[in-house]
Amino acid sequence: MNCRRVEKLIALYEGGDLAPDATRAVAEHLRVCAGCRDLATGFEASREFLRTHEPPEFDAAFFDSVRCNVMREIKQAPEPEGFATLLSRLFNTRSLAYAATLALLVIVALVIVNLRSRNLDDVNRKEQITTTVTNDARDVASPNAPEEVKKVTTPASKQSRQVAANVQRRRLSTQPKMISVAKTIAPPVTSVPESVVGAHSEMAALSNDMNVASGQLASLGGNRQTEGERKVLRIELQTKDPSVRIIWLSPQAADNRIKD
Amino acid sequence: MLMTDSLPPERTADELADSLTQLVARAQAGDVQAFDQVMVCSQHRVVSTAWRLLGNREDARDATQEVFLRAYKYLRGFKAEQDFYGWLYRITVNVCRDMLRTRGRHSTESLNYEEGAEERMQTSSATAISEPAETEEATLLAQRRSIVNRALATLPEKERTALVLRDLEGRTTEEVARLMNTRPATVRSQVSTARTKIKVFYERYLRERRKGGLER
Repeated sequence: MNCRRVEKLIALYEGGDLAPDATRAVAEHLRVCAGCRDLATGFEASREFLRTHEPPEFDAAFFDSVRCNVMREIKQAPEPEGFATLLSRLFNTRSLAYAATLALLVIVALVIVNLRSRNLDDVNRKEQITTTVTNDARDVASPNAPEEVKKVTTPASKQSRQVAANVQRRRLSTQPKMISVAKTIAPPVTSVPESVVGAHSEMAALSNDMNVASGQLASLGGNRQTEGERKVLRIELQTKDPSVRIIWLSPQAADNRIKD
Repeated sequence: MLMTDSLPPERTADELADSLTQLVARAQAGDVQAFDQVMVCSQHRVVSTAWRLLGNREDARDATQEVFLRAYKYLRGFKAEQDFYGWLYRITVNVCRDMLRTRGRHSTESLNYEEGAEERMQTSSATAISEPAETEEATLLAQRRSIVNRALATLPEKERTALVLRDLEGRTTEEVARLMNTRPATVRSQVSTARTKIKVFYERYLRERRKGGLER
């Protein structure tokens, strides 16, 4: 430990305020350094000087006057209020009126904020629905719309689901009803295991019929029809069974032509 | 530890402590006479501390009155298991610090103390110091107090409080930190700085005394 460090610590060393390790280190340095020893002696002397600062004698009259003043103040001071007194003081007419006005203002503010946030939610929801419907209408009107049903992503709200369902229904109405036609052609294969062979044979017969029907395609021809706002190609196939006719509806590109 | 002005001296410390506890309990219940007895038991301690912190008997008296008024006001919040003198000591330190802050204590006050004391001794005021006859010893004692007060008055309020509590009242660094609502490291720093300043003041005082002049 050097003199510079000891000079900073001597004030605390003399008062016994250093940690044990630091105290030992300073004591060790003071044994060998005369300059720091003189410094420590000076601090010790000033501490002795300070310890002479004893208070003077205060006589009984001094204390009596202090106590009399205190007792007089205590007797003059109002009684500490109890809880009931505090309540009655707090809830006087004026305080009550202020509190009620403040409460009313707070409630009104909360209601206004709540209404505003609800309105914002409604506006946002309507915007989402409009966007969805607009997108779906665009899809329906497009000549290149795929034949399979698109999955429409709808918001979770009931109204928007309803709108989406309507859009889907409109789309489905323009699609060829292949499923219903297929059902009329052949019974379900899995319903009666024993009739699988029979169904297969019927399907085979159907495919033969289809082949024949394709040859008859030209005889029936395709008609270009307009359904609603869109041009649709209608193809009819007559199978061997006179009661079964296949009708094919397909959206037609502008430059498609049916060659007879 | 009890300063007993009016209780019989032959009672043991435990008995005195018990009686103080009973007095405090009665005072908490609203017995004003019991509180008066509590004041009697603790007035010396409070005045001594206040005088050391403020350096002036008038301020010490005002501070003592304020200390007891606050003690009475907050007595209901005092718990029986607490140390009453420690609690009162904390109030004393806070009151003196408040007074030091509001009045901005500096060196002229201690000079007033010394001069005022001599005047008061000539009158028979109830607040006069009851010192022995003006002997040389008493004069030297009064002068020394004045010098020390002047030395302490050169310190800022926090350093003065830390030094008085640590070196004159004999409190530990941790106790001083609790009383001053600060950390022990801060107290050590303040005490170190204060001791250095007192040393510088004392050495200058000795030099001037050797030269044959004592500044007043």
